[in-house]
Amino acid sequence: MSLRVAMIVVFVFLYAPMLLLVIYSFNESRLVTVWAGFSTRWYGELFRDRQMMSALWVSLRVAFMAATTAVVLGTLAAVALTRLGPFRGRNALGVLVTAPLVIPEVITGLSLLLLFVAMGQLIGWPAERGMVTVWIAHVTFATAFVTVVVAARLARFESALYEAALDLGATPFRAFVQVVLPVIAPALLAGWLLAFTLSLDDLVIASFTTGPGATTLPMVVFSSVRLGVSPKVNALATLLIAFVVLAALASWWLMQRRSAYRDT
Amino acid sequence: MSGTPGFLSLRGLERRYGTVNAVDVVDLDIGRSEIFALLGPSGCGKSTLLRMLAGLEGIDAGTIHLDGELLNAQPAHRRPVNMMFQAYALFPHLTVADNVAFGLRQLGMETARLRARVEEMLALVRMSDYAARRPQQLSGGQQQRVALARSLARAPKLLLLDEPMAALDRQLRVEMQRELREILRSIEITCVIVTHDRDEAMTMADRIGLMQQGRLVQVGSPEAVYDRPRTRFAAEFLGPVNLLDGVAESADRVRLGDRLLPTAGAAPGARITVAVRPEDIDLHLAPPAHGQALAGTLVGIDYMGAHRVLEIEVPGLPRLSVIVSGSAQKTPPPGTAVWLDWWPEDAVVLEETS
Repeated sequence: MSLRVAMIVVFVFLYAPMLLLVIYSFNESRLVTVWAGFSTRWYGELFRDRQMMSALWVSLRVAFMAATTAVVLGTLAAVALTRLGPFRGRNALGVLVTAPLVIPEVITGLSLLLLFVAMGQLIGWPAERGMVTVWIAHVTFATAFVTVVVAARLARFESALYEAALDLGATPFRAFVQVVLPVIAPALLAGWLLAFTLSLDDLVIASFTTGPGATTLPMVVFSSVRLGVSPKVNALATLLIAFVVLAALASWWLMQRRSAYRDT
Repeated sequence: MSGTPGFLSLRGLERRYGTVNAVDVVDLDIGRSEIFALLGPSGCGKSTLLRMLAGLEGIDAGTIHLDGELLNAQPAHRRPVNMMFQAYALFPHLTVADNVAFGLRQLGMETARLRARVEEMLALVRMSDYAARRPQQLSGGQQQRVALARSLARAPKLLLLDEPMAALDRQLRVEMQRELREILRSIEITCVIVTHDRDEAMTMADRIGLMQQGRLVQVGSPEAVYDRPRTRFAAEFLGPVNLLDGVAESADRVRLGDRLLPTAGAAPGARITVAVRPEDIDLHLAPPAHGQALAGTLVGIDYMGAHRVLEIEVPGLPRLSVIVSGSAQKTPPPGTAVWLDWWPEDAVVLEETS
């Protein structure tokens, strides 16, 4: 019984703030703390806010590109780690690829900023920071997450499937593309969704590595909140929560859905 | 081993893992359209040898020739060899028809021919009605047929079967063994089967190669290997057997305790082990006239349906098993005194190599 109470307390602690935020996003009043009746007014205002909408567009594009790149790189890293057998530097690769999982974002962001500045001075690229630099920065940490997800799937991949493809005349490359990739596709999609969400979320690293004209949504939200909370932000946050929850559920479901693609 | 190379010819084949030879100097010739079973306990190297033939395992020494062509340097996907994997390894994301078509697509075969070939293969294994299904919607036996169709589609010169019945339950196994053998015979394909199941090897194969610790210890027809095992291991692996230690009195007499029993091909004076199958022992309820039968006591009876296994205790010898068939009423009760003998060719003198 006491365990049950403790669990409820934890859930309230974790989710009450978000619930409050969702409720107040439908508040008629301009004052965030005073309830004045149900309204979807702030959602309308949100969609008319050009600054926020352009920031959303930037964030979505960065997240899409970062997630896609991370899936390619993360899959290659996962293949190297799980399928190539022992090779010189495998352990080092494993540690280095997944290190961004535990490195504080501030440090990742700062080090990337220093790198971009130094590169700009040395080779003239990137001349200025913007979407491309945020994209590259997001790829670095998103790749780590994708690698972990895909490596977990590859670890229980039935190697006889790959061998059967070779045996039936497929070159190693075609065997990988025609058999391994389709079978692990749910894990790739789950990794992509995870990377997309993380990129959409990120404030710290983006703040360090962005430049003029490439303000991401979390940055707009953060700076607007400092000037006083507009209920618009509640509306935006509600939409983001809905999206993140859906993406998380989708990736969880894809990882769970083993029956259709069972090979172990 | 004959001097003329076979359709499939292995010479001095070796595979090493560290200091262990998984496959240890294997020489073997297999004829065209022959069904050959590699039989042995797990870890004897039979699967490694099969994978070497498929190109999925490296070769440390020796050569593999197939139809006069050296296979050593050819990677798996270029060899005219196809394998049916142990758990079938059907592609879960493809339909039955696409599984069978997979190997043909790699050849770049045109659509019409490819379709015809897939239909032909599915008809061969009686799975035409399941072309649009996914592998996970099929039973074990059906999956096996699809796997067979897939491995035959490219018309390989050599078909490899890795423990073909291991994933099936016992009842289905006997049925599928017969069906598989008939399909293989009808298309006259050269085939190497790996199995640890002696019944499977004896039912399906023209010849058996018995493997032990990476070596081929005996090669021959199922009858030859069963009736004339060369070693203790071969005798025991192929079925229940009585192993009796004695001294050769002459070329065709072995002294067991105080009796002389028939055997064949012994070196006089040598300490030898003879192997006698339980079904080859003749049981008498009265001493035979020649006076050289083993005298013992019936101590146990196991009823096995069509036959019975009798346990006989003979002073100075390990307990003997004797299989008798026929009416159960004729079986004497435990405690009965019995006499045992056999024909000379049924007591095989083993080489003392094990």
